[in-house]
Amino acid sequence: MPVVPDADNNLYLTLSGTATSIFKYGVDPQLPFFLRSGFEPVGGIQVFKPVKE
Amino acid sequence: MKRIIRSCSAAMALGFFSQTVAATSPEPYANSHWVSVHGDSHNSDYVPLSPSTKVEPYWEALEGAAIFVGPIFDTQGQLYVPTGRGQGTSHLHAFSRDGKLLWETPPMQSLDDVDYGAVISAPIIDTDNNVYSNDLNQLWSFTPEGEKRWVVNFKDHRIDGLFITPVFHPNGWIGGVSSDGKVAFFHRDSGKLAAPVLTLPVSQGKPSADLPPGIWQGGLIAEVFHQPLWDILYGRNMAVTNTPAIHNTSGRLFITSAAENPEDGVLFGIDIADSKIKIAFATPMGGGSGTSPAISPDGKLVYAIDDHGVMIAVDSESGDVKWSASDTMGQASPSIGPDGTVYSFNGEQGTIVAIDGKTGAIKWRRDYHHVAKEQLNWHLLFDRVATVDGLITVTDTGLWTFLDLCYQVDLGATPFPQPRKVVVAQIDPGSGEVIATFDSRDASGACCPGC
Repeated sequence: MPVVPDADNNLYLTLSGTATSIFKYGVDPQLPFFLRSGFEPVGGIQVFKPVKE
Repeated sequence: MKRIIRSCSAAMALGFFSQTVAATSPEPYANSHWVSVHGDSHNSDYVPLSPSTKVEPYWEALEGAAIFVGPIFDTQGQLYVPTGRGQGTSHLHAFSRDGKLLWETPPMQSLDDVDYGAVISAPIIDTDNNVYSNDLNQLWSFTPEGEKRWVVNFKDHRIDGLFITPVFHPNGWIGGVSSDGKVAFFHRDSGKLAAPVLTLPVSQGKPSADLPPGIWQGGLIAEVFHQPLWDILYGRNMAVTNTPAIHNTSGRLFITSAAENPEDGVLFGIDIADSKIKIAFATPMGGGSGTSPAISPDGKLVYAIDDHGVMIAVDSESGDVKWSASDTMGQASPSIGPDGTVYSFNGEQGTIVAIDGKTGAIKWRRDYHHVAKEQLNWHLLFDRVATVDGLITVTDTGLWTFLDLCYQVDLGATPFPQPRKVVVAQIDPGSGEVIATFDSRDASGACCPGC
């Protein structure tokens, strides 16, 4: 849930897919296709590193 | 014992990465910068680092698994992440900082293995880099290489719940407060019970809330754990659904709980001394199990928020309420800056509030709907709104959280915000203004749009 940095200023995102799965599997199927979010819940950990300038 | 904020080059003995130490975490917490679910033993969510949004993708892992706690770092460059996909999958994973999978627990075959309950419990690491992690029914210890050191079966100690996250006491013990209201500590070297288990005077709290349809489908979380996890996230049907805070000098433990009357809450101060665990104070608070408590930087006040957004600041020694403030939101543990400012949020309203930690006066409060208007295309039918969907991390370059950018779909009885994009936002702690954002590939928190 939190955005966690490290001392090299990498940023670690831990992803739950909670809001997105509610829509993908619960709400979107009830909506016309042109109103669906199209958001794929994937979860996992995603890490970013500083751009070297 | 008390650590000071410091940074040092660790190229000498620790490896080729720099090391920063969490603001307030007494030994035996590892000499690392993010050592528990809320960063440090005070649950402050503050880390003395200076990240920016000028970043690019580095590595990613564990796709398909929901993760609810941030990575926990040891002093050798390893980080630990729990998941909860269920039978046939591993639930505790160790990575190097460049993303190499170092080890993971064997795939779960039964509840005797590291099970899916681990997903809601941050592992913690001691000064020897040994790892401690709990699941539904057991507390585990592993070496940094992933060898099992010992395992405690909670049932052997009449504990029928799980620790939301374990904690270290400054005396060296490992333990926690279980979801059924038992306070238990164990010796770190053997896993043997260190003191008689204390049973808190609590109730199961408010009843379960219905699961939103579709939640965590696709294998993100073991289906059998959907309802218990939802109850933990929203503080229902369990006495304790939060992580204790540990005072970094006195060692006093603070935990919020449902009171004996299920409609009320209570903040306990608990002392662990002379091989005894005893209640120092029990301060009534509003209903629900509340948020994880957080301790001010000077250690004098403890903050907690009830279901109705009423925050209390309690004297950490006497348990007396020093101030209370309504409408401070509070769907998660308050985050605390190094100047004592307390930050809280309301996810669905998309609002963050900054509060003077000494007085309870509101410094600023704002929403972030303009970010949705800037980053989503105009829609003929629907307004654009932002929800706050992650804990607030406080750094020396600002606050960090996730914003779900949504269309406000108004087709049924109640409008609901439909996420179309997720961004990480860097926010000015003095004004609440957004400094910059970058895109995330998924949502992070437990915000339930329209629930």
